[in-house]
Amino acid sequence: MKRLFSILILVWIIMGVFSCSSQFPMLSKKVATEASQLKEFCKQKELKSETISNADSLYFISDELIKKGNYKEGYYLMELAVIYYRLSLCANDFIVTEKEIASLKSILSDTKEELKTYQQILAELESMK
Amino acid sequence: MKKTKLLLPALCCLLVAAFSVTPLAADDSEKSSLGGLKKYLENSYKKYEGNLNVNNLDLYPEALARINASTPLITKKPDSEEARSAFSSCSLLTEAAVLQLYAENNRAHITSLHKQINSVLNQIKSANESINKLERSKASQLKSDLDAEKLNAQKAREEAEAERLKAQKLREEAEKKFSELQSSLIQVTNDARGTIISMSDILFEINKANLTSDLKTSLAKIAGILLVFKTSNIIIEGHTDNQGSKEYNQTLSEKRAENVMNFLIEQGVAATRLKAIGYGLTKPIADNDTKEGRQKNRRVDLIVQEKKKKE
Repeated sequence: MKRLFSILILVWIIMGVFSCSSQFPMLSKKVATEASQLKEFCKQKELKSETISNADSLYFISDELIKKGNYKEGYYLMELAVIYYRLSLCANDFIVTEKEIASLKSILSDTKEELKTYQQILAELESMK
Repeated sequence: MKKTKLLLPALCCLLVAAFSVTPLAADDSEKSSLGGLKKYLENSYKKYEGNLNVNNLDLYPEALARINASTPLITKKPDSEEARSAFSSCSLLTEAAVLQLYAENNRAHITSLHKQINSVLNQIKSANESINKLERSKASQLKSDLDAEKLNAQKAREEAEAERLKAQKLREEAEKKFSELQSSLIQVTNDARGTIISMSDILFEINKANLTSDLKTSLAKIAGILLVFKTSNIIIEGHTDNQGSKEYNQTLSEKRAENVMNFLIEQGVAATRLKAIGYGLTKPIADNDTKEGRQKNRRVDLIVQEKKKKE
């Protein structure tokens, strides 16, 4: 019984050590996939900015690091690249919505002017009645 | 390995520097600590909370979770590479989350603007319909006015035609009655001027202007006709032959014409319809060298003319 307990503790320690040592390769692979997808998405949307250039640089550096087996460093940089891509997408989304608001405000203003004209015509017609 | 260890902090510094020039960068002091970042994030959320669709906000909870998760590491080892890296990640993620909040708020604003535009467009549509309705009603009113005008014009034409026919009938009747007066002493003719009733001077006292009883009888009949045939004016012309002086004949012709006119007035014919002119010997209708000719020239003519219609 004492022997079995010792074996279980040993297995637990081995598994713990194994899991600790495999954490960064697995995480870096996962985050690299996400970064790759975001990179592709930004490319499809034809987004170009300093933020994206920085994200691309980070992506290539961290990719190299991961390939060389430096998973921990690679993971952190790749994660930063992911955040940078997301930041770029959010910034783009913000700019697009800002432009749409400006356009809609202009349309609303024109439409209100048009309404004013119609109301004036209507008032004149009603006064002539 | 040593090279890559130096690379990470260098890149983090680069990213933080780049991040600080983003358009939505808040106060630097606010974002220099995790607590400041959290406050900045939460304040941004509270600012637009009412307009936000929480289902579309994935970065806000993620950024908050990352800030909370990074706090022990950054507190324990603030100068470590991991702490700097974690802080950079938190800063960037916070900024991305805030941008997402702003964009989401913008989307709510866009929806509201679309609603406002649609509302104004509906008002335009409604105003346009009212204008069309009023224009149709106005056109309809114009048409009915035009129809009424046409009807009135038609009625007026018909009335004028009826009046013309009536006048023509009266004239024909008058002409018929005038022609009944025809005798050896009274000649009735028609020419361009109208009906001419020519009375011989035998009906006047010799070399006088006084009317004989026979002439009065005839003139009374003529007056009776004129009273019915009211749409006529009468010119009474006195004429003589060339016997005697010009002045004498002029005076005699004028007096005879005036006497005839006065008698007609006495009979009830309106003075405004009558006009007396003496022509003396100036307008002979026959040869003054013969007895018959002179007899014809001594006369009083009644010219019955249709009144000219006022335009």
